[in-house]
Amino acid sequence: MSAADHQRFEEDIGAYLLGALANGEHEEFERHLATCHVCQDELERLKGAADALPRSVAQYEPPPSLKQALMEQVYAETAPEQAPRRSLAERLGLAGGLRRLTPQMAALASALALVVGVAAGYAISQTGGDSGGTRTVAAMVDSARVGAGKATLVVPDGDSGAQLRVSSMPRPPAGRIYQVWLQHGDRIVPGPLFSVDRNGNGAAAVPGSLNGVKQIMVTREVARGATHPSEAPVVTARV
Amino acid sequence: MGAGSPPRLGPQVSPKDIHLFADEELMQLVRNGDPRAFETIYDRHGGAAFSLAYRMVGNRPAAEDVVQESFLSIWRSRTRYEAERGSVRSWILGIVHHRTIDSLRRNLVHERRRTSAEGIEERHEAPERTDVEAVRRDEARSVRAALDSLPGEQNQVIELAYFGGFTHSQIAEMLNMPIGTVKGRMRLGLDKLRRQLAGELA
Repeated sequence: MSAADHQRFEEDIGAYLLGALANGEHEEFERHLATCHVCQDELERLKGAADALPRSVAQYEPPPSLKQALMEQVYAETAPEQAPRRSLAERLGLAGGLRRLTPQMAALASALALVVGVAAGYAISQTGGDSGGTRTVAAMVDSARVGAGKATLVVPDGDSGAQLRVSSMPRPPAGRIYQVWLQHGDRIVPGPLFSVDRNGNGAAAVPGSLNGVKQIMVTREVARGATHPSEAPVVTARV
Repeated sequence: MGAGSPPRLGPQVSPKDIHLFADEELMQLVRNGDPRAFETIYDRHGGAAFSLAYRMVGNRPAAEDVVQESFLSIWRSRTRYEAERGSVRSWILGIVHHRTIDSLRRNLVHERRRTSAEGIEERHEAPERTDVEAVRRDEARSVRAALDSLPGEQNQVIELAYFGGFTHSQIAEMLNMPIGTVKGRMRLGLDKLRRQLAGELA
């Protein structure tokens, strides 16, 4: 780096710390900064003052709905093996909605029992089978709610990297999306979101291993995903 | 962290213990994808993040959008925090500041500001509930006092840049002065602020 090069940038440090460089200039200054010890020292000297600026603002409470929306998204993106090791009730309690959601969870539990015990009203879309190291798990579809939809769970050897595939499924209602759920024992962990194309085809990669997973379920949830199922599953695949 | 045997950092941290960890320790858990650690980080710094965004954009919905985007980016790029570059709080507020500036420059926020019927009277100051918040309230007073003590022309360019999201060239045009003068005032203002705050802020 030449002295002339430094001279070109030396007055930029204040603007850089205040976020006042335009986009291209910002990156250009950072490239210079990486090689210029004078600017690095100056940055170190002035950074504390810039960091203090946000402390000057009046403090306000963010609305609880902001945290709720944020954490719903976070839980929807949480890998099953990293999902909370506490019970579902604890998790919902943390989200502040336990009392409100308890009836929904009761409804889900009832629905699961119904799925297991009563085949009427459900179509078994495909029987299980092995093919080339991959097994296909039968999925039950609630034909009363999603018509002629079909679903299969394709599980590679090793039980990791499974994929849930659906076909002839109706698009979820406006503002809703399909969400996958994984049931480990009595815990139900949120999984990925997916939609379907105009032919009703869609797929979702099931994160992690299926080891310990009892069932894979699908419900229709708000577009950003949910931390808990809000309805009985429309698709259920017993692993 | 209290006396006795402190909880061990790891995936088996119980929910009741998670609040005992320092931010830097929680960020290690966040890096491993622990949503409870992330939630605790939000509980500690979400208010400051929201307040900064609100100060910059001037309405609640836009501030909420920016804060949600910022925290989601933190969750999704969890390996980025480097302790040697400053506190978790400063790091988070830096991200919020950067994203809010992006929104302001894309004009998204100005658009929403025009359509929002919200008035300033809807603001609610957060109550001083803990010692930590009381200390932060004192810090805020100190920083405001230091800012107020700057020469008017230095205070002005810092306000326009940091809280208004304007670039140095926009400010130069706005104030009808050379870009070099604006940059110089920014640097001098920060330097004076640093000297004013020396010893006050740990």
